[in-house]
Amino acid sequence: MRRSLPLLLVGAFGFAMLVQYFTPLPAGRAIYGRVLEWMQVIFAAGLVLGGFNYARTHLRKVGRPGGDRVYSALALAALILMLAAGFMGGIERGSLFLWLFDNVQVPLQQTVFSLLAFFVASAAFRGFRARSVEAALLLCVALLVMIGRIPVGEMMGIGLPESARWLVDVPAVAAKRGILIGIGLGSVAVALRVMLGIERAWLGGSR
Amino acid sequence: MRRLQILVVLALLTLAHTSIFAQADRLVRVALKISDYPFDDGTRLSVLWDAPEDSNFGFVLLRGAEGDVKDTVLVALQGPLDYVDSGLPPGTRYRYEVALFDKGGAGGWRIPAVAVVAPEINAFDRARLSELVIIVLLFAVILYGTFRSKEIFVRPIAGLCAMEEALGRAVEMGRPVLFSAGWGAQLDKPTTMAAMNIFGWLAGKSAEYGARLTFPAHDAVIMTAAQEAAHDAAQQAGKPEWYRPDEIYYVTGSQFGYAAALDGVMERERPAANLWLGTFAAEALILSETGNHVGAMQIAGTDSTIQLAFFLVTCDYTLIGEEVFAASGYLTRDRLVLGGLWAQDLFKVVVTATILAGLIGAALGWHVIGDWLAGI
Amino acid sequence: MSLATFDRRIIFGVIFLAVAAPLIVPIGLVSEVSPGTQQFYDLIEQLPEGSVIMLSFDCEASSWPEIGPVADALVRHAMRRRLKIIGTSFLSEGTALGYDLLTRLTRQTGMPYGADWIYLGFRPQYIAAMLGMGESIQTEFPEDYTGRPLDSLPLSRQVRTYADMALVVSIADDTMPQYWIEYAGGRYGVKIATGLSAVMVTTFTPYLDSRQLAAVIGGLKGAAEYERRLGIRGSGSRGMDAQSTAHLAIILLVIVGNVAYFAGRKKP
Repeated sequence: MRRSLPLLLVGAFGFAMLVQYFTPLPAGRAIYGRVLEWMQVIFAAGLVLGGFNYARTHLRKVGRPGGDRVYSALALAALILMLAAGFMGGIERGSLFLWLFDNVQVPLQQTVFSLLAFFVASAAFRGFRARSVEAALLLCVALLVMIGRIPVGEMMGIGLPESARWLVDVPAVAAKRGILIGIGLGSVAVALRVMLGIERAWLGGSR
Repeated sequence: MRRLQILVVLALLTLAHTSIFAQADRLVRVALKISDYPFDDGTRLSVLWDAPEDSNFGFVLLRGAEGDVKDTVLVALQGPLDYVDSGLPPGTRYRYEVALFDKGGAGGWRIPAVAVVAPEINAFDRARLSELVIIVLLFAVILYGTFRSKEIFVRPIAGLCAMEEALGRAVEMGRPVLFSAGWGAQLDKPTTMAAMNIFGWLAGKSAEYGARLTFPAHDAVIMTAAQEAAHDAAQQAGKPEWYRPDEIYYVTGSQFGYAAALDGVMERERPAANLWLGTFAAEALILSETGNHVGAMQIAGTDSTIQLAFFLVTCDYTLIGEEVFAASGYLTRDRLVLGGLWAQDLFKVVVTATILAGLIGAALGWHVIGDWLAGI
Repeated sequence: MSLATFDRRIIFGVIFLAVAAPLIVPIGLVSEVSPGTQQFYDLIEQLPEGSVIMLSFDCEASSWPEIGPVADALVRHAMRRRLKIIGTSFLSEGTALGYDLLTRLTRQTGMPYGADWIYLGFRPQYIAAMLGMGESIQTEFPEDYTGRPLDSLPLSRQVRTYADMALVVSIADDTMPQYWIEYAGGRYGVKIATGLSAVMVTTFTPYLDSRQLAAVIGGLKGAAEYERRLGIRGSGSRGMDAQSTAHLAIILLVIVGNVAYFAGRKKP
């Protein structure tokens, strides 16, 4: 029952959603709308579940000796602060919650995102080595696109921007389309196997 | 006398006009057929005009909602015509009228209420027929391949072969294996299902070998599913004590908060192996570069074509595109799943042949395949 | 120091200098307008005065430095053309960013809220919301972002569904435009355009070819080109100085890395 019920639900809902796609009848639209609403409810419940799990995980870490308890204490403090700010002060313009979002969350997100610039350089330095013919070709194309995409490339006047655009718009997109076709077929196959109960590893262990 | 003459002339003109009008009315009511467009989403009506072009008169079709005086001019009824009136709300009744003009443009006489029709929603929308055919064909091929009894050869996929090696490394070094399904993962996505399949297998093997497997999740639903999978895997491996729910935990739903958290985990715990399998966005390079820095063996697989490039540069093994979906069959050697892989490859041949046929056809001026593909 | 022991902090230092220096001492590089950006510009330029466009800020705070300039240039262009704007967002972080941008820019021109622009706010279930707006925007958003009843705002009485809009532009850093194309464009026929982070542009080029997207403008380069076309020098143009030096620094590092690699191979 523990494994049969999830399989039954997955199969039933999977095929129902598939059928409703092809029928414009109000019943089909109603099923679709209702399932979307349930997904919202599950998503919201997941947030609550995640919050409790987060708090429990870090409370346990705070209780254990070691250097990590400081980070866990900070994480818990941040959670409590944001909850208190939101519930007591609201989330409108001028509230503490939004101030913390604008002045703490946003800069932190942007800071971590900006690490990409450094990591791209580090990865390029390590990865773009002309070890073989294919690697050398990749290297040349990468250099061409990097120069072609900046005003310096335009100033050189040797058609670098047009070449870079062509490389990005034609062979790169063609390769991407090929990969996407494979991914699309793979997705359908996995979805069908899951709906039919052939694929069960997501439930745990082997078939 | 003169007045009598004028009256006679007027009467004759009226008679003539009435006669012409009556003829036109009869013609329109016979030649014009308006009905519900079959097999659609209830937004179309079919208009058929079956009369040759008149040398003296022109007809124009008008439509207005029943009970509304406003009209919209639709189309000139010239020659035999097969017209689809689209974009209509289902169930609303429309009245159609025809305006009659002579070739000089004079007239505008109305033939009222030629038809009053409401479009109906049908059980099947024929605009999706092509998609249905393709889906049914694809399903049939996958099912045939799945239940086919022949032995399937699957080429060695380096990244999948390396998974046991990654586990062995973790056991030897006494360090954990870090698994992530990516910040873009959601349980309703096939890539995430494929990642969870791999995780289920991985959990079973980790329980067998006694390796530590940790999975910080960005989504509580995925976290719950992973906990269930790990718990069941441990039970099936006969090692229920291996399962520790604290190893699969919720971090945050924020993209770079998630990346920062995993970077912290990697810096502190120094995992022996990182498995990046799922849907990744910009955090991919941050994670894999940090993993590279701490010396972890890294296996990546994603459906995000953009992040593939970053993984290729920073990871030891990368599964490209559908290799992620092939993983569960490959790892378990399940005959049914491998059969599905064979079917996928067969369908890829069909898709490639169709694209080639369309290309050649377009080059030769034959656009049927291209138009059909564009209309799907 | 060999390649194997090369301290990556040196690379980080080079990149830091390459990015920071032009931001402190601007170079003033000028970007030529590419066909893609020109197409986007023409799309907005051809809209009649008074047309309504929807701007959806489907992005996160982390990518705002890259696509914020795109949104900024677009709003300036829309205001110049006297278009009316309906703002919304399907990612929570984009909500406040979009509202702040629109508030700041419309204040400069005195564009009145309610009559010339409104902000609907955020909806978490984007598919349901996109489909819902095709039937009735007022049902989907009974109140605006500030809590006012939507029907009390003059612009909302003019715009009931997508049919009353000339264009929807998704300012996105991920795959949200795909849902706009499928649900709003595919089902309701509204024209869709998008401003994207540079890395996402190749993902959406196929939609441009198939005309499911009317125009695409990408990244800081796209923003700089758009600003050039508008005759202004904003954050996109300033950012391109830093991006240019960063690209050159990476190219230099790659060349140095290859030289060291081949030199190391030649040694016995």
